[in-house]
Amino acid sequence: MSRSSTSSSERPAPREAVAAPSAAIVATRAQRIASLIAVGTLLLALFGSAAVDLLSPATPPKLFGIEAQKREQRRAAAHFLDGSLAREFEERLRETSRMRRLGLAAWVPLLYRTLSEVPATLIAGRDGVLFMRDRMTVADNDGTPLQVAVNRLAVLRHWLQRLGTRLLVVPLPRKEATLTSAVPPTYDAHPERDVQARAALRAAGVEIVDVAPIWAQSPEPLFARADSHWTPTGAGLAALATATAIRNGVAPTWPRIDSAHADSDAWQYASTFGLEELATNLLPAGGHVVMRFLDPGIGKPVAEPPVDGPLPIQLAGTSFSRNAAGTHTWFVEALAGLLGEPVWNTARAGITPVDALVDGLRRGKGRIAATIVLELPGHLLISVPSPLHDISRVFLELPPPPGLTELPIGAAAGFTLPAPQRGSTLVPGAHGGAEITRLLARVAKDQFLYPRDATLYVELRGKLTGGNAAVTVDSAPRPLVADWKPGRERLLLPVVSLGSGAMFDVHVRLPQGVTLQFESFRVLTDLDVAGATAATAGRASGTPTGFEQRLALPRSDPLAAGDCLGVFLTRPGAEPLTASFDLHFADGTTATAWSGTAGSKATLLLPLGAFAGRTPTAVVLRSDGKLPGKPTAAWLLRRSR
Amino acid sequence: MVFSSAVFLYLFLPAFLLAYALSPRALKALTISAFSFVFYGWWRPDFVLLMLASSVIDYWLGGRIARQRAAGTGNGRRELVLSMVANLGLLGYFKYANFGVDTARTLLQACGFAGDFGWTAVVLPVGISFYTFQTMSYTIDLYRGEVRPASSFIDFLCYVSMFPQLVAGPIVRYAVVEHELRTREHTWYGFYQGVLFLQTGIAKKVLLADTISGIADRAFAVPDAQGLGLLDAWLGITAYAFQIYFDFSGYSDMAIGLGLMMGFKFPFNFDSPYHSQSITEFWRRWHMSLSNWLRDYLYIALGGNRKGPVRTYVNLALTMLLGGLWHGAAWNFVAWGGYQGFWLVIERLAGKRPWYGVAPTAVRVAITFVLALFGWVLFRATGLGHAIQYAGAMLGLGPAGAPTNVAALTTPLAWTGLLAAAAITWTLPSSQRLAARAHPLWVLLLQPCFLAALLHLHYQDNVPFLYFQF
Repeated sequence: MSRSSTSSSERPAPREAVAAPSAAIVATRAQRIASLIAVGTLLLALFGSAAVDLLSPATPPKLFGIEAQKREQRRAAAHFLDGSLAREFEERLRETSRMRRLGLAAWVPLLYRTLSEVPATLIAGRDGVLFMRDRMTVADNDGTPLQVAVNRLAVLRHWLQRLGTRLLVVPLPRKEATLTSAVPPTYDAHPERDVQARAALRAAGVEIVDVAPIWAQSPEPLFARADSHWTPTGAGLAALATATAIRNGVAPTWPRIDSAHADSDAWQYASTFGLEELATNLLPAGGHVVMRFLDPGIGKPVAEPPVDGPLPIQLAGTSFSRNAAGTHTWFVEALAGLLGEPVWNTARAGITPVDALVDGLRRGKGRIAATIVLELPGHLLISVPSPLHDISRVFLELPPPPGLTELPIGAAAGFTLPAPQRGSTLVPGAHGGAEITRLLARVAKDQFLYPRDATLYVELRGKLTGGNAAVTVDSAPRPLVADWKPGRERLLLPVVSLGSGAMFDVHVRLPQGVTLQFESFRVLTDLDVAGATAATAGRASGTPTGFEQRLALPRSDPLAAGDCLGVFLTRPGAEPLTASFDLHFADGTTATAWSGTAGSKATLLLPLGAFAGRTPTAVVLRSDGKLPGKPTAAWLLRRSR
Repeated sequence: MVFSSAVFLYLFLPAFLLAYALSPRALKALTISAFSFVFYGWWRPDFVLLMLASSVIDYWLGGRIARQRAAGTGNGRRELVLSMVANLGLLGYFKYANFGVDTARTLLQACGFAGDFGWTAVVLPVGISFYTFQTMSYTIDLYRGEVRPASSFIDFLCYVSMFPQLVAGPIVRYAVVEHELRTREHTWYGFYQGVLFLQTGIAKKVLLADTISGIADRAFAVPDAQGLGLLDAWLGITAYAFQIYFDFSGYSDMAIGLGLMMGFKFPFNFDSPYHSQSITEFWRRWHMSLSNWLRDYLYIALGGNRKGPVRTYVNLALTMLLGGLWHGAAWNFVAWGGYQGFWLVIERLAGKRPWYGVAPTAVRVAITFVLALFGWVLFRATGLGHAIQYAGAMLGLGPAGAPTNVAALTTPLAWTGLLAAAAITWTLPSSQRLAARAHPLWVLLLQPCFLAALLHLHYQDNVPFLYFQF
């Protein structure tokens, strides 16, 4: 458009330079041969690939766990009009393309060996060490998701303990956080997060096996170079640490081992790159030791539980314990050998141990192993945005913990929960059908303050037909999400997340075509509600900023972990006001049990675990606002277990 | 469907070539149209209806224009206006409605109003910018008496929907293919040259554009270019300059090649643009089919250079602003158009010479390239603010922040791609010149590159062409 122009030369005309082929390009013999080669190459590549892929498609890769579920969901939801069906077709074509597999078997090793190029999901480290890219990162910075997951594990541990089972968690250190010298300098895998995660688990009362100290003494490689799993050395040491923990600190001795076999790393590279075995000849060979026990008759892993009698130690693990072929890995072989007893391996090839735990609880048919070893890959705690997001599946498989009682809702004598807000739709009756239906029960915001440490449990009863429903318990941060499946008439889920909650929600989402004959919604607790000790309220007196009221507690035993203070707070007006509760103890000391903002008419359930061992004598309420006409009521609620 | 996908290369294209070869001459246009509709509707079948509607309207209006002119009963002005309204209306709604609503909302909110329209965002149909320009060229050229009407609706449909250039150009004016729609030659050498273009295009797209795309993506992913180092900023934008060139010119080569394989001669779209010694020359070499379209249907329609120097500058600037807006409904594209228009006006003021015209050739090429790079910042940034921050980082004025490591994270493959792209850009002639000569040595060297591109295509995830978004 910037061309020099006059009126006449600016007349629009097709004056574009076009691709005009000329016979001159095939004039000579060499040109004709070149043309045959070029056209032949193109047609052979196009038609040859098409023929091979259509006539001899490859088997698509097998997916596990959540990846398999996601794929199924995606396929089920694919539609013609929005193009998602076409995308699925392309994905399928990609997965089953034999030419793609053959081509990549040559191309990927070439790229790796010449340019250290690896697929986007990987990072090439030093000395041929490969790392998973998604495990190199830390999912969050404030630690909330990690702490929520840790709290849920603590509840699981406590729940199992009350059922007579010991839960031993083995947090698997990330390869990225262990082989730090092989991590490229431009990446930071934040190895300190693994240490923090273990510390958080310990602090929450979860019994863990820390393999880091025993690994630190090993001069041998602990992780395979081309794979995110352990070498036999790493697995053996992890098994020794686990067996020692199971034996309460007494280290078992090693049975005789044959470690003479050596294996090539090339197949691991091929597997990590997702290549055919054909590629192994082109990939770095390397090698590592393979171990096996020499003596028969020592403890062995078993894949099936005994028909009756007590269950052996259950190993709920991942691909660190069972590979894609369904075979036990050296970790579980070594663990059973070291313990000298069978280990029931419910591990699944994949990355989440939840499937394995659920599988074991189901196959136990009412029996639960006396010891469950839970293998927890470190990146599940550190690198994913929602660690153990599906742990509700485990809660749903467990029998109720003993000692749960109903916490009454609405007006009743003693400490009760406030009634759900008006308009709550989670009420007895028939729901769902033709449309997507959302049912909700909500205890008013700012009117109820409750602990998220499994002091409370939600129980839902009803009959579901036509498909699954999604249940969400509690509110931010990180409400617990569960699948309600037909055939399950009772759901019991703990309220466990982080800190205290102010908006207690229960959602049930019924997809189109799913119906629910809902029977009841109850809140259960292991607090001794019936035996609650009521405080005697003194007269409220005005202060320069509001008022103060003393509530005397009857003489009682020292507080225990899990005890709570239940309060009905009533103040004039409708606006939320600040308040604080100071505990006075028999030894003359005081401590603040809680301070913050609460509704003018609020129910508070305040955990007193921080004051375990001390004997409270009174609670002093300080609040802004006008003097209340009605005295505050408070109860000391003891944990029933 | 994209050219660089398995479904296109190993299902669609073999099936099409087979069907096209077996079709009798009279049905070849129908075969092209049928396959083109499958190609276009692959990801959004409903958008096929939109293209069909656009085709029906313009074919009908074009026919009326031609009949009026032939019968001497009118000049078809009303039909032309209707065609413009229909095409620009479609383009305006699907491409610019979201932009208009967002802008209005921002203005209202700045004035203290709620500005909430309850607007549901419109999805942009792929290629609408290209095919509406093509159909408009048909009715305009008929109105101007420069072409004859399409002999049948199938021929016209074939012109509008022809899959090689449907979604990302080159913009083929009806006048260019008018003759070939009626009768065209299918020769071995034409097919062979088409193969060479196709192979070159795939190699350019996959081996060059895609391998270096990560560098630019990483540099532009730094939020507001905070802490983006001087070298990283230059590395990122240089990589983008090569990425967009090899991506878009690769696509154009493939389109031209596929056209030749069917006997069509499409216009060239690129002619070594980074060899340019001025921005004026750059626009003669970059996206030539769009430049020519804008020149012939907008710049000249506005008066071109026929109404004095001031109007010439205004027309030039306005054309480039609208050209920028054609690329995307966002202010940074308008600013990019304005930036290009600014340099064109400056050069026009200096007698069509750049202000650095006295410098040696290599320096002129280098300065033009750097000016183009600053333009690409506007083009690639997520918004005007981002573009300003990024340009600031290129000038060493970036705000302090966590240091980025774009260069450190660049893989050997990406470095290889970048260096190869630079070497090819400045040492080899353009692909049309190479394909026109078809030197046997070059043809033989091209084959492993083509096969490597096919292999690498399997290796990488689907990477769409950049110009699909326009």
